[in-house]
Amino acid sequence: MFTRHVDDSLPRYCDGELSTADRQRVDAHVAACERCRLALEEIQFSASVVRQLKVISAPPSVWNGIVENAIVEAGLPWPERSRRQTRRARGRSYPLRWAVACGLVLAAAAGVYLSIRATMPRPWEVAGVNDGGTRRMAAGEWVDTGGGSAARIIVGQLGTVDVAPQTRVRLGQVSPTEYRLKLDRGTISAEINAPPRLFIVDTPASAVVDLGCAYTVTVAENGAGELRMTKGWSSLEWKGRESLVPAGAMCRTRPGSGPGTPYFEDASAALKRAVDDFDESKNRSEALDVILGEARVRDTLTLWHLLSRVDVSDRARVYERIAQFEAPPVGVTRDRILALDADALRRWREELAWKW
Amino acid sequence: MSRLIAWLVVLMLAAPAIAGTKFRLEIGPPIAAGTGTPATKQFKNKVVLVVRPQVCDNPSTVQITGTAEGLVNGMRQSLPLELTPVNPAQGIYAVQRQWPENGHWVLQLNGTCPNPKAAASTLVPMDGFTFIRNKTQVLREPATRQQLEALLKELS
Repeated sequence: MFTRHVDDSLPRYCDGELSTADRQRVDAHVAACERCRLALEEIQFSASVVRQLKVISAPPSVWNGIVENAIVEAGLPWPERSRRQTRRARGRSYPLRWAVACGLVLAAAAGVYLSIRATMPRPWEVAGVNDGGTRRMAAGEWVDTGGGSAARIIVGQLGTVDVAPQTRVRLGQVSPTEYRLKLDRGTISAEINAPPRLFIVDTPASAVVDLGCAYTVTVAENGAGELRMTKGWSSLEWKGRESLVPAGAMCRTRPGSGPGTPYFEDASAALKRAVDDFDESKNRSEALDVILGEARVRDTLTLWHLLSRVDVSDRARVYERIAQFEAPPVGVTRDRILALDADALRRWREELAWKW
Repeated sequence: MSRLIAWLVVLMLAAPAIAGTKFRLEIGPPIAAGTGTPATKQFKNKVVLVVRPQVCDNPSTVQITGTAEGLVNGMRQSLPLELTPVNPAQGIYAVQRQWPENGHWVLQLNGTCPNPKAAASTLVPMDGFTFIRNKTQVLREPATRQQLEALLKELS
């Protein structure tokens, strides 16, 4: 049932070193066993290739290396002549080899370091406006302007952040995908020229996500804040709640509730008061009445944000008011808007924005 | 006479509707071109507004050009505007700031639609970096020099 293979015997079989009986046994087995037959063919092929190789003499250095290793392994003392020769050879080559090896390693390390450094953003630079001096600051450090002092934070290649007096700002982590500041209190004015979402300012009640813009953000002692956009637009984000604030508009933030409802600064005073009342849950129904009554076509910025913030029973009123200014585009139905379909809301917002 | 008056009343009532069906150039803030499109990566601080055609059979065929018309220290200046394509299929272009900070400036945007054949202008007064929405004039025909100069004078 079990056959003993003969692959152990095949090399001697090929060299003609087996006895007659063993040779006959191998012949009989190979005739019936494909595995051993293939193994025999490989050995025979390799032997034929080797036979075709030319024999050449090894260079003296190879022989010398063999001799030295043999002496070492045998534990024999070095011959004088050989020792001198070896020392001279080693003296010539070993320091040189080490030097070359070290140089290569250092060069490689330098290359890697420079490559990493080139891609790493520069650390924070802070200039004191009053004294004109500039110093580098690390992530985690605070910029604290008191009294009449002010400062300017240079945000790598992206832009600048002017820090007003009586302001406390913490420098956050810096990476190729994010620059972060934390505004604890006071006022900063940022002018950032960067791809969207690269520069973020954290406040107690929201994160100001830069989408390519200039703005001023103020945080009071109680953590309440205010964002005023001068160029481009920003997004205020907090726990899934988002307010989009374009240039010319402002938005308040409140601890515990995050970003409020944005409105344009040239909106009527009555509308602005009503939006603040609505966001602070003061007579929301009456506040909504005022907002709907005071709104101009440009105030569809405010109305659009209210769609997702009013009670379900009031949503249709807000929809109708917006539709009076600008009908939703084709494919954006009333039902989809009332259901707060994200794609429908986005498409209507992009159409309304042409009126902002 | 009463028939004439009736016709005049009809025309007055119909005018807004007729105007709404005529070719014009509409402007908006940069956000109007979308916040999540690849084109928004072009939007640095220099983009002041975006412009698009309305009421043209094929928006991609609309030709839009513009100039920045200014009064700087009493001297009139006119600078050609380079428009950045944002969505050529929809005829949407961005206008980056290309005029000096000092002085008073009005952007004159001119558009032509091949079908139906029409031309229109939009005059956009600027306040620093932002456009003055409530003074912007969206015309259904090319702007006249008088209209432009009147707007500049109003700004100064």
